[in-house]
Formats: sequence, C-alpha cells, structure tokens
Amino acid sequence: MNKKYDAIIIGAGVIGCPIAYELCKMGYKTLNVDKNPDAGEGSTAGSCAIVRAHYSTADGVALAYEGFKYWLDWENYLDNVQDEKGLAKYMNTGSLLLKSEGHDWKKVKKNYDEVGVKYEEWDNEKIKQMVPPVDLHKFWPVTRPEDPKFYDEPTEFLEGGIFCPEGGYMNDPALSAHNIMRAAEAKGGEFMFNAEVVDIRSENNRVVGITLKDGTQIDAPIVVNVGGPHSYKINKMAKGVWEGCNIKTKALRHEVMYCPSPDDYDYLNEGYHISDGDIACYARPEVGNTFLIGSEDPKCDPQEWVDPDEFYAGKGGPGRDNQLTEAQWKAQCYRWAKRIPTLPVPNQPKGVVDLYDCSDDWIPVYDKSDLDGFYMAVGTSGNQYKNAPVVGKMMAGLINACEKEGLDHDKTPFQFKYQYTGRVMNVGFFSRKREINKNSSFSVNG
Amino acid sequence: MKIFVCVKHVPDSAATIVVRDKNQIDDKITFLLNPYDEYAVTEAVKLKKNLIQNGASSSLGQAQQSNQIEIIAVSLGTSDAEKTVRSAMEMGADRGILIKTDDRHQDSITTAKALKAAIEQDCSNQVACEDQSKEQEPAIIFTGRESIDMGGMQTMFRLGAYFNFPVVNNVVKFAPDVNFSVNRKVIVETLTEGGGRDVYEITLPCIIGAGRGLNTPIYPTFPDVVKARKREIKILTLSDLLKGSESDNKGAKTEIIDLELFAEKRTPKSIKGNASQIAKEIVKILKEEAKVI
Repeated sequence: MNKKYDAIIIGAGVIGCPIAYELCKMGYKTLNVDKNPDAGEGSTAGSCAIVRAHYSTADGVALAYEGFKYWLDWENYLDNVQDEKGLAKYMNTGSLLLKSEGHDWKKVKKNYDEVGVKYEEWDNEKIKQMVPPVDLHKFWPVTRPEDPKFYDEPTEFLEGGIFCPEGGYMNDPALSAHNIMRAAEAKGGEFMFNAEVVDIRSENNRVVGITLKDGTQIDAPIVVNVGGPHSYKINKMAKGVWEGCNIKTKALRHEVMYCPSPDDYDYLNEGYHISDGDIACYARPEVGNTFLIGSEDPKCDPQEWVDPDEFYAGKGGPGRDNQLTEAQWKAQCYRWAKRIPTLPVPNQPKGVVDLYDCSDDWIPVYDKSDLDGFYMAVGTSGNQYKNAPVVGKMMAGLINACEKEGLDHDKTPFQFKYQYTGRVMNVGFFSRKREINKNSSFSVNG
Repeated sequence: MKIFVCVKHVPDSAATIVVRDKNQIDDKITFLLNPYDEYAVTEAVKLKKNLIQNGASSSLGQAQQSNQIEIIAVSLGTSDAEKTVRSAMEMGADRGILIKTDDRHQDSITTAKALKAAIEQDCSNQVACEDQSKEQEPAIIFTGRESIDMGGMQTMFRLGAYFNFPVVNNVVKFAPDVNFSVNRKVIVETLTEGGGRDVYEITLPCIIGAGRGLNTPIYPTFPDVVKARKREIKILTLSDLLKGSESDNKGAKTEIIDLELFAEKRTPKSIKGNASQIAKEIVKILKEEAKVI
C-alpha cells in the first residue's frame, strides 16, 4: 500500500520548504522529497542570498519588497520554531545600484516609486564618502580580460547611484531553508531526503503520485515541481507538462568569486550590497572580510548550459562541471578590481559554482500545469532567493484556489494579496503560457 | 643587482585531477603559480623595497637604485606557463623569462640545468649590451620550497650545485644583514623537521627556498595587472637553450611510468555535545591532532 499525502513537493530548497510550510498551515498533509541529504543543500546552498528590490518590472520589485519584510521578521515568520542548527540571520547592509548603461535604472526608479520602495539618490561624492575605495570611472561596455579593450583607460565617470536602505543578504542560505523545514515540520510537514524522483504518475490527466529511484511509490493528488536546476527533467516526467509550457527552463552554470577586501577597508561591517551594471558585477560582504562577486551575465561572457546530474557529479568536464574556471575568475575579479582598484586578486580562484534554473526570459514560472494537480515553482533564474517566503505563500494560495475553490487559473488568474505591502499580485504574470517578457533584463537581475 | 625567482606552472590544488593515458594528468584544468613560489616572489619584492629604502642615503637616488635592482621571474614550462610568469610579474617581478617546452613533465635535473642556462644567459646578455658595471651573476635566486605537483624538493639544490651557490630551503624568515651594503649577507631562518628552527648567515649569491609563513603573499591589484601587461616576457626554448652545451639533457631525464591518484581516506566524525563541549573538543583536536594551535 503506497503512502498517501495531500501534496508532494519535489525539492526541499528555499522555495520548496516554504510551499510546504504554507500548505501545512492551511491543513494540507505534505511531503517534501529531495535527492540531497538535507534541506537547502542543492542550488539554494550556492545562492548569494541577496535581498534587494531592484528588478526590471514593477511586479518584480513588488515581490522582492514584500519578501524583504519576511526576512526582516524571520523569527515570527517561522512562528518562533527551534532549529538545532540555529537560525539564519538577515544582514541589512543596504543596497546600492550604480547608475549605468548596464541597468535600466530609470525604469527601476520608476518601479520603486510605483511600489513605494524607500530609496535615496547618491551622487558620486556621496558614494565615495560611503564606499571609500571605489573608483567611479565609467568602464562601459563590459568586456573580458582576453580583450585588449578591457585595459583601456577610462575617461568618463558614472552618474551616481540609487541606494535602498532596506536590502542586504541572508548569512546562510542553506540554513534558511533548513529553518523553514523545521517550521513546516512543526505544522505537520514531512521531509524525505536522499530520495530521487524518477517518475510522475498520472491517470486520466490527473497526477496521482511519484515513484522514487528505489521503486517506492508515494501517492498524492497534488505534486509541486520545485526541483531547481532539475526542474526541466521533472517537468518532462509529468505527462504533457513540458509540452504545455511556452516558457521552458534549463540549467545554467554560474560562478561566484570570493576575493579579499583591501586591508584598509572593512567591507564586512561597513560595506553595502552593490549592483554594478557598468562592469556587470554584483557584490556583497562575506565572512573573512571578503567580497562575494557575482556576474550579471554580460553578453560577452559564455553561457554554459549543462546537464544538472552531470554537473553535480563533476562529470560535465571543464567549464561544465562544478569547479571554478580561471578565465571566469579573472573576468569577474578583474572587473570588480577596476571598481575597487586596491582589491588584491589572489592567483588561486576561490568561490562557488552552482546552477541557475533558468527560464527563457529569466523570470520564474509560478503556475499550475496542463496536468491537473501538477504545479510548478521553477525558472528562478538565480534571482528568486529573496522572494522565497512570499512565493511559498503565493503558491500555496494558488494551489488551494485551484484545488479547493475550483479556480481555472489559466482563464482567470489567481490574484494574490501581499501581507505587508497590501499590493495585489496577478499571478498570471508568472504563467507558463506567457510570451517571453520583453521587459526582462534577461539576466540574474530578473 | 639581479634577483631571480624561479616559478612553476602547477595544477590548482582545488582541481579534480584525472589520470590520462596511465602516466599523465588531464591538463584541461586550471594551472597557476605554484603556491610556494608566491612566497618566493613576495620575498623578492620585499627585498627589493628594503634595499631601495635602506640604500636611500647612499650616493644613488631611489629611482636609480630601483632601476639597478631587478627582479626576473623564470619558468620552464609549456606555452601556457606564460600565464604563471605573468602572475609573478603582476605580483612585482620586473620582467620574465619563459623557457618553453612541449613536454609538461620535466624532471628536476633538466629543470635546474635549464634555469641555470637561462639565468646565465640573461646575466651575460645584459652585461654585453648594457652596462659593464653590472654584475655577471645573479645576486640571489628565490624558489618555492617545492612544487605542489611533483613535491620533489630537489630543483633548488640541483640549481645550487650547478651554480656552486649555497642553498637554504623551507625558509620562514629572511632579512638582509644590517651591514648588507658592505658584507652582502642575509640572515635566514628555516623550519626543520619536528618544528625546530635553524638560523643561517649566508653571503650572496645564494639560493633561498621559500616556505609557508615566510610572508603573506602580495596579490596584485588591477593597476598591477595593467602595469605587468606592458612588461616583457622573453621566450626561450628548452632545446635551443641546452643544445650543444654540457648541460644538454641527454640521459638526464627521468620518466613517469605510472601515475596513481593518492586518495587519502577521509574519516569524518561528528562532534556532539553543547556549544561549550564542542568548542573544547575542537580546540583539543586542533592542538593535539592537527597541531596547528
């Protein structure tokens, strides 16, 4: 006799866990299954866990701003649950977006005004005062160190930046997912690890359960794909689901670098999260007074689309597996070293390589599917960590509306009211059936 | 005064090494400056600065002294080893020499002969074409304590034997003598087996093998990278360099017959208890097992 649940969530990362948590709070008996050994140990662990509001769409800004409020109120959000590993901590550094040709900052500013995000405009003098080692020359366009133009002397300057005092990062992304798992368990949720899904079973166009690699079958009338970089493989297992998506997902390799801060700059305690479209990098402080330097995916950089199973097994080969490459180490660190000219760049690359579950337009798919009872929170494209608690609540609301209230979400999209900002989100924005959103930045900026 | 630093292009210690064709490693991994050589380059840069500062009162101005003290990074390697020579220059070497070979594996005998030939050639070329007053031999040669790929710890000794220079390896402290400008002596401290320390007073020319802890490597900033791009790397070829000389490497070469991965068995254990008990246990392990505190 197969075990039965009200809902099975495939994945126990930072989005899978809150979906379970919110469904449990609504009375659903849930099971999360994950092929990793613990919550948040997949691509969540490789996230920079940055909490910032600037997105290319007003809906994106609104979702992120709502998410910020959850991180700020973390213990209450978790209903004061105890976690033997301790609680992840939100570090409110503030977030600086440099005005550059690499970002449509005017659109971001308009979105901030529309949503009501608090911000200040800083001129170069103010930025220099707040970030003393910075060089505010304009280095645009973004190039690679292999290109001689990379070393051209800059002559112009940037035109200031937009600073959001409400922004920062969570200090331990894997732990944050673990915290939410404990909160879900406190509400009755169950979790199964080292469990790989190999089949999504359905009958009469209705999902009925999953089959694990060891042959175990588990039944549920609701299955949610939150498989991160494996999402496309999970969608392909469910009858008609992949074919029914206009927006597809695939796994993109991404490197993030650790570079020590200059000795005379306490970036860890005095620094901000910085988004710098002029050099296509973002950075946030990390322990050991280091810069965590990510890439904003400029056009000149190669994109490595990989098979997630080969990647995590280290079998993808150079440039496709989970080891840093020297070329990208130099590209990202040298770009950042232009902005911080006293930044020492070690010879040995150090950092994190992981995968984005990337959608066609770098905007996620939070939706039902063409198979009844099968839902997906996929295509997070490296930019959804900050939204995870809100997405959990939104997905639970969507699932409940479809399953219990008979909503036809494809015809009449679910409207989700944000708890903190009061804004109403048309969840149809994240539809799998949408056309590619041309307003997207088509990068990690979303 | 010429300060040479011998550097090697080695696999990144974080790379996953895969053995190919029984006796080679798959070289599609990151190669970089041997970590021990980072200490060597850094010490050379520190020495140059020290000599310039302390010689400021002499008849030569600082700028002139800076020109007369030159750091040259030398490497034997395949063409991609140029990146490692460039790294050494980004860290402060004034110029570089790459002795190019097609064969990634070179034993310490060939390496030492090639390094000696390149260093001698560099000294004699400079003397011939520039300034007769310049010295005809290197003042000091820095190397790393060992290379992390072969770990042979032989090249610096062979180089010393070929030059007939004294060699001190695993150096953790280095300083020019207070009367360096007169006696050309340096004081070095080495770490010995069992954690002891030996102190040597050596007269230049000599060879210094830099050990871990000698200094904190100076990593380059972007302006350093830009500056280094404009500096010269002279390319020599191993075959030309050793051709016809008594250093010709006939018969000197060792061969790798079989390569096996040394997979150290990991035995993780979990430390249980409250925070205070766990902290005590960690301190105990660090003291008694790892012996790092």
